[in-house]
Amino acid sequence: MGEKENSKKEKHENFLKMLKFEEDQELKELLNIQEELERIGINRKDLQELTKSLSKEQKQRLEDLYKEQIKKLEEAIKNEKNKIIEIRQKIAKN
Amino acid sequence: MPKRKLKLEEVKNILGFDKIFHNGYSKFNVLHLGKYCSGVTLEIPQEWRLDEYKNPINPIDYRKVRELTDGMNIDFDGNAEVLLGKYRLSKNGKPVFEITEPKEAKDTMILVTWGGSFNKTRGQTISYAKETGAKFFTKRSSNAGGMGADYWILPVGFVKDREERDVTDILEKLQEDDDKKDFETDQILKKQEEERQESIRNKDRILKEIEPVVEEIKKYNSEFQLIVGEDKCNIRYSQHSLLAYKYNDSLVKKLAGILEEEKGKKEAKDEYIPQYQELEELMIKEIGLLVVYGEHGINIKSADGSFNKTYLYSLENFNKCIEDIKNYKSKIEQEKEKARLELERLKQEKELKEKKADAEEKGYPKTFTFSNRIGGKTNLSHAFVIEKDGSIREPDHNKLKNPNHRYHSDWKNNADGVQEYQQIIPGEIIISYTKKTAANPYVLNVEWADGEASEEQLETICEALERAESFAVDSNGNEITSIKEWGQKAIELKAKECKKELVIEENDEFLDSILASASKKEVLEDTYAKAKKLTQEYEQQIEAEKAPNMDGD
Repeated sequence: MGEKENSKKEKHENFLKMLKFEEDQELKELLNIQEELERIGINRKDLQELTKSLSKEQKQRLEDLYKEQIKKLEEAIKNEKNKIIEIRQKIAKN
Repeated sequence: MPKRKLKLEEVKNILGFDKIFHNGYSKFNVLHLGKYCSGVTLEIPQEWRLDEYKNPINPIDYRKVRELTDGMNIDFDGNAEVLLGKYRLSKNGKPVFEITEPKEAKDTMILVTWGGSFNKTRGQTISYAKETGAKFFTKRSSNAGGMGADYWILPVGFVKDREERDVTDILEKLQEDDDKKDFETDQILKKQEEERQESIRNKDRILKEIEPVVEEIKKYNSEFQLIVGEDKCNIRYSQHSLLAYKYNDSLVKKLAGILEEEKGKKEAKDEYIPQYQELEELMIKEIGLLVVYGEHGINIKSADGSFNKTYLYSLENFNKCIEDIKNYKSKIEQEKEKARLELERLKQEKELKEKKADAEEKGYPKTFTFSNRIGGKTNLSHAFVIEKDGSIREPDHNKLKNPNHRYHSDWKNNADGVQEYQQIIPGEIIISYTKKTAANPYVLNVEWADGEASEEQLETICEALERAESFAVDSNGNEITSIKEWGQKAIELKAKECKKELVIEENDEFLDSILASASKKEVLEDTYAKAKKLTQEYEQQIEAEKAPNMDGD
């Protein structure tokens, strides 16, 4: 009985967590770094300055973030290419 | 005989002496005083002979008469020249030498110049002159005594230690020469005078004849000037200076010629100015040259003065101008290219220096030496240092076995001996091969690597080891079937090993990775934006095509 109750309680807490929106401060900081780097121009010196306070884990996350963004962009470009091919075919038929 | 009576001031001006006076007998007394002067008062006539330009001829004219001086039996020890005249002592007992015509001369004043550079003559001593019996002798010399002048006065027929000789024939000959010169001058002056008179007589007729021509010339050249004088006129035009002409037919011909010349210039100017203007638009302005159009031609110059040339309005000059401009343009381009290359070289040098310093700090090999043997059948070996962009690096030092001129033209394939590379920098890969005999395979080896090989590097490796492809093994003796595959794996493996020797901060790897990712992301974002825009344009096109059909429905 006690176990069941505990399990219910846990599920309920998880559900509440899902509902509750918590801003990811770390991600926000990493995105800011990216934005700032793009604004001033990609260079080693500024990148070093911008990332000097990041922890090892944060650095890893920044690398992963870039990888994820690149992957998404590659996919998006691929989609756009397909779209263009499709539209061209349509125009050709008309 | 052409002669003219001179004023005292004229004589002073010509002779350059101040101490000249009238002596009351139509003569001037010249006190010949000064460092190298005789100290004798020279009596010269007021009337001087004239040359063909009517300029007075200086009567104090020492002349070389060897017939006279050589027969005197005197060792003058110098260069002897004579004045002819009469010698006397003044009331005050001072020496006076009156310069006369040769035929009237009783005495001669001999100037003996001696010494100077490389000249051993030293003139004569006073005692020698006394012993000779000279009427007058004086010696003038420089402070050091190396050069000077002796003045002797002797009777014209004087012979030392002998009786006087008769020199009438010598004097007559000199007189004849003078008279002949005078006669010739007289003839020239008379002819000139006749021409002058004729010119004056022709003046009115010629002026009337040339008037319309002059008017016509002035239409073409406003600078033209005809200055009318009594017996001649002066012409001044264009770049020509003042030209004098007598009033005769040659003046008429000259003016007709000038008219033709000016007409030609005007026609050429009208023809070539538009062509030069076109050239200015097409070529000259582009290279920053300044053009000034003149009456007879154009001047083209650069601001720094390195180009400054004038071209007349003619086909020859126009073609020359094009040629010069082309050459100047090419010279400028060459100089610009040279400067650009130099700048590029300096930049690369600086970058390389920085890279080397960085590499040294990180512990990359300071030197790499390898003994190459390419030109043989046995014990072959060769190493290549391949840069990040795939180019093969030239060694910094060579210890070639046979210093070979071919090395300089083909150092990649003519390098038997020890080669040394200083400071290996990040990204460089070193590969090598050895081969003992024809029966043994090529043994391929990666000597150094710090990361993955770039595509360009792999391409170079395949090219450099092409001959080994069919018969090669790696350093462990395993057969190699593909150089590229072997290269990729062996380099990766070697890099892991080499990296252990390097002082690479963890942060460096992180920064490298982020920099590469950020750059890639930027490129992809740009590509995506372009693709998106293109999609939208196509979509709009389709919408536009659909629209009229809908209206029709």
